[in-house]
Amino acid sequence: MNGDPFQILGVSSQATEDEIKAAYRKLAKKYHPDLNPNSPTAEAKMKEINEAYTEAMRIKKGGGSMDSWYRSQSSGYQDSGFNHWQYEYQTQDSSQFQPQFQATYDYISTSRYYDALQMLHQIPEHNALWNYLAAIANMGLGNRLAAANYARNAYQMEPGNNQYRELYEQLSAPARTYQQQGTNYGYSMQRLCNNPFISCIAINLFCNCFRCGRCCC
Amino acid sequence: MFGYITINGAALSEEEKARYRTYYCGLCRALHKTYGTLSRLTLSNDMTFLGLTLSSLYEPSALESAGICPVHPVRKQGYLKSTALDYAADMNILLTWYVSQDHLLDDHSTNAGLMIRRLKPHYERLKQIYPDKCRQIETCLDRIHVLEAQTDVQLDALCQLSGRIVGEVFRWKDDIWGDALRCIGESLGGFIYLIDAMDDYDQDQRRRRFNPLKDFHAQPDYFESLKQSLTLLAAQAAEALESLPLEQDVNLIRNVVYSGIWIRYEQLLSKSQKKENKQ
Repeated sequence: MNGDPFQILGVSSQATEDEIKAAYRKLAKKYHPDLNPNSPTAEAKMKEINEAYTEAMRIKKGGGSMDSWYRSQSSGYQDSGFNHWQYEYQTQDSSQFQPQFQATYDYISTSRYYDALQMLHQIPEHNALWNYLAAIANMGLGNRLAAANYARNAYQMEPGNNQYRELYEQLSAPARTYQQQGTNYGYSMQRLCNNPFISCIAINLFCNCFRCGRCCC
Repeated sequence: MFGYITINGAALSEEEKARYRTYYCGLCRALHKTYGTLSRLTLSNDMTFLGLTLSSLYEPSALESAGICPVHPVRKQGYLKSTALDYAADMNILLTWYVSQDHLLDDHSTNAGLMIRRLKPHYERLKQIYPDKCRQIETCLDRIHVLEAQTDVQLDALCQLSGRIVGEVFRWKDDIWGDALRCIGESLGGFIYLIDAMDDYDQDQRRRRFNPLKDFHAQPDYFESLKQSLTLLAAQAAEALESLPLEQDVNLIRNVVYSGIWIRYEQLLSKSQKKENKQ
């Protein structure tokens, strides 16, 4: 894309995301293909503002490319990197240290996550360290849900351990942002919890007007 | 289909609910137009959400009118007509076809058999229009069947594959928004897979069918750990949605993503708490 994306959209580089969206919408309405059928100029302009929007949002989000963000969402953690992983098992309590843990560490350090998980399966006792390693190995395999669950287990078993706490906080950061965002828009999880029936009855009444429930689908 | 991706009506004004209804009725009419009256039975909230999101993003010219229908024979209902809703209707039929196939495979249900017979010609037509989507979806379904036959449950992989199916459905066009839409679909697809597994758990146990949560159900923090997984998926969907230039009806879209999708979870949680209190 040529030119400054903010200039193309007609906003300052200090504009908020909402202002960027509003500016984009205004231009998109003007050059919409439905309103300008068979107009190569409008088509080119539309392409330009689409790209400017994506670029402006990318800058607002702190630089990284959106493409790689979407890709990292679906393929796991390969892109975001293991900034968390530290090879410092020497500091671990030696009493809970078993040879299998050593082997697991070695596999993880060489990115052999599947082998690391296989090794963990041979350890009968699932202590905090076990859960921590299972979380890291699952991260490597792109198993986001399992990784988050193991990280939570490790943290709950040993809340005082900084390494476990950091990993848990790293993996649950998106969830916290989401909940905060929801609260900002006036949707409190708590409220939904407190009176689930009110909302459920409302939604069921509303939907039952149209369909006969799940049986027909 | 599933209907988990829905609004929380209690948190919407009357006008907002009426607005949502114009999409819902619009999808119903789009189904009727292309697939006949009976296809209206397959109408789903999930695909209404797709129509709503695509309408907001692409703003295709939409015709708003009102009319009576078999479900509302007296009072006229407002509805929308647009290419986004036509596409959502196509996807509604396509997904119903695959879900019915799944049901037939699982328990030889007669309903599913009848549905498949009715939908067969529509499926053949859709396969011509969206050959790439159908191929991708079928590859994912094959892999899901392989994974579901294994003894140890690979929950992440199952969620990702189900997500990819819905991702294909959400990616309307191959343009600059395709990746974000696919990402929304993938996250919501995983969300649907998990919540559906929770929902069907008791029934699957009774009928001795596969359920991906069989290893987790006995855990004391079953609800808590599933909430964590569901929240991660919802967060991913929300982040991709917020990256798009959505303005029109964005309050409805946010109502679904931050609130409506949790309704079934809350129902299941309070049901299980009641059961516990009784014991």
